[in-house]
Amino acid sequence: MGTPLILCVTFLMVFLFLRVFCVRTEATREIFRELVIVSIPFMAGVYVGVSGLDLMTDELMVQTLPLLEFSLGFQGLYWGLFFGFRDIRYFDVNIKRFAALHSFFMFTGILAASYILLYLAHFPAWEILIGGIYLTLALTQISSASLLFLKKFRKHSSSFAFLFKTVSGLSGLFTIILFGILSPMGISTSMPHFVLNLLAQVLIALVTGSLVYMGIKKVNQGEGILIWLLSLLLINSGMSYFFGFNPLLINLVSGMVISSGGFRKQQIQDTLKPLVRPVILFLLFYTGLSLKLHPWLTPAIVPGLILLRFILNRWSFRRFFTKQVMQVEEIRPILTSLIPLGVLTPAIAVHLHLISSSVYSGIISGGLGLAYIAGYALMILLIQWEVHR
Amino acid sequence: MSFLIILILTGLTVGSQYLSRYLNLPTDLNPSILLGLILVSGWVIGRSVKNKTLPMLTGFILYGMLVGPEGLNLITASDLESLEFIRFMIFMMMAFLAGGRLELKVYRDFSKKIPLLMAGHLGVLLLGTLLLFLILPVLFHPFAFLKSSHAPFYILFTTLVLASGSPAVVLSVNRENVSPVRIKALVLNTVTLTSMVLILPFLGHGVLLQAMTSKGPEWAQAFLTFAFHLFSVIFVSAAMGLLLRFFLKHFRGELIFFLIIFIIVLYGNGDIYMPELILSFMLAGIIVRHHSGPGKGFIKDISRHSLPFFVVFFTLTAAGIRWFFIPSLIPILLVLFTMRYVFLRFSTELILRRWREESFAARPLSRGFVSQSGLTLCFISIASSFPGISHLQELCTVLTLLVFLNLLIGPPLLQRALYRIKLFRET
Repeated sequence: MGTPLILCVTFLMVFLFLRVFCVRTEATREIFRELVIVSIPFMAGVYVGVSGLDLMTDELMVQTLPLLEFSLGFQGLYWGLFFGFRDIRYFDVNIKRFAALHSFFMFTGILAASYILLYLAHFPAWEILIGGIYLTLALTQISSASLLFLKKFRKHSSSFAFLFKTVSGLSGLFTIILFGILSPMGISTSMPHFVLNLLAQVLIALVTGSLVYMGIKKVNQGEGILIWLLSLLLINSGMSYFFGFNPLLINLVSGMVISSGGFRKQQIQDTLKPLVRPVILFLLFYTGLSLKLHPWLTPAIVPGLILLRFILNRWSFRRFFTKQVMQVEEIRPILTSLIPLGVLTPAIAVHLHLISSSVYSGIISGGLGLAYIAGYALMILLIQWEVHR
Repeated sequence: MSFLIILILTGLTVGSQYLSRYLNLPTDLNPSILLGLILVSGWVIGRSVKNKTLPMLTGFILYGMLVGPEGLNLITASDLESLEFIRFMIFMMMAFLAGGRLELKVYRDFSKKIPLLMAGHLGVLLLGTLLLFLILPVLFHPFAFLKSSHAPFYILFTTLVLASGSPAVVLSVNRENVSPVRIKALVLNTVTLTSMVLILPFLGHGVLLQAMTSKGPEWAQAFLTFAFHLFSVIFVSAAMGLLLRFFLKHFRGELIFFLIIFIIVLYGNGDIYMPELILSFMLAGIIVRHHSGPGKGFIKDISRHSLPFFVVFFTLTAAGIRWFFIPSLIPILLVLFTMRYVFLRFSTELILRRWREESFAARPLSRGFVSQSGLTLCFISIASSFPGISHLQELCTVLTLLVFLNLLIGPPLLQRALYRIKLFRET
């Protein structure tokens, strides 16, 4: 019970400090609320999981597998519903170029740092390869959580917030695609197997997405749309578990197919909206379940990689964003909001634990969960600092 | 078109299973794929079946029967086992929803008369069962065991099973029908409150089962355990309800997540009885809703999005019931069914007619309390493990078949009743 107790005390101290000294404005209050919300399921997972009471037996884990697969796939489908093939075409070419450059830049930088870090922690070669990729993917995405702050920042118009949302969405899209391409490496035995796996999942996603779109077109009630979408999610996610596909990518492609059809697009997006938050919290709960602390790697992953990510993000935004996309003189608020990790982090962490149940994956996925929460805490600190300036 | 898509999906699944068998791969269907197929197929069939008399629910049940182990065996017994947690989760969600939909304060005038309706149902069914158990062994030789020393136990157990209804069925039929809200609330409140009251004897039953020794039950220990379980029901429901109220006040949309976590933790801790959990979730639902605007909104939200729960729950329930017919048990099954139907009708009509305001609904509604499902099956499974009572399995088989019959016949009757009341109101 040592780990939950240490974490609980640490969390409480951080919360108290932030509440007393930093949470002053409406924007920070909202982010603080967000911090508390994401911390509760994570801590609940830690208490129920292997580090705590160990209530989640193997049998129970198997029984709750459909829920987990559903939650993983949900992230991909929801992303896909917002980024149909047509939508991507409509985006400004500069924004797309920026998102691609940024993702590539971040991915390369963080991958190198992750490999060095895991090598220094004496991880086995295979764990370094896979763990490094997962760590990097989780840290590459730009978080849309910053919109909570940007919305309240009067200096910037809503069109700016929309632009940032688009960039963050595209960055998530690239992350899922990269994740989908790279994650089969963990299960593929040869190159042809790897390529076949990728092709098969895209093909299946196109077929199931088209079938569900046809089904949705015949529906005249919101409930019918919900049923079709939930079934698609469950079938796709089940297949990805069975055949070793990536649940995010397969559902992303299906979502894109449905979105590209254009039929009741808004209603389809709204149907799944109430599930967004519970799914993220559920994934955080699972991340907490498998948490294992490493004497120095966990503390290194959390502040070290977040700091590195922040520096790379800052550099990338200064270099690419202002010059090509938008002539913004003052980019400090964006930089402040680049601290929190992307919403895909818990999904990536849980997927790592699904494909490898080793201690090392527990350390990495637990570290990612902690980093996700720490991102919010750091964001509050930075906003407070900005306000002082 | 929808049928075609389902045929394609089911065909692909069956094909993949055959292929797996051919390639010596595991043939068990992934629970997620199975759940997805059940969800969409059950819904499509439910929608096709739905009309003025038949609710969607009947479609889900028929689909469950068709694909279950007793039907085409597309969902095997091991598949059902792999979805046990999902079924449990949905069961608890429904208990929470039933508790949350209890509207005693809104319709205070008729709420006072619900106990009379409940007592009427229980009284006539006890009388009916007593008479039946006196007559049956005389008329039918195979039921001579009903005359044994365990007869009081049989009578009590059968009465409790017969008196129990299905809040889930009422919730499901209610949501499709646009008949007067007041009547819908009357049916739901009566069935939910009856279920909550009946859970207590079954909880006692389970406790007695635990306290059984070779010399008989240890009453002191049984009493203490019962008190402990009762306390745990109050504690769990109060803790859950108050925590959910707190979360609702601060977080709202994420509440459903916390509810699921509660369910997972309670499912993981296998020492808790099913009736205890059902009662706890019902009470938690009441606490969340009571005097709370956001609570009411939350219950409404869940209710609005609850169709997938009903599809999966009723399809799995129908697939899980062993509905094979043993010829020697058919007479008792028919007699029990007729007795229950006639007595429920008679008592409901009698009570509602005396109650002038609702007298117009007396005749149609008297057919509306027939449904039985998950909760009753849970009671039967608890009682069936009671040791040292001869021929209990036969009685349990008959009662399971009776539940199955009521599950098939009850929802259309309720739907028809609500439709006729709606017509009466309109004209």
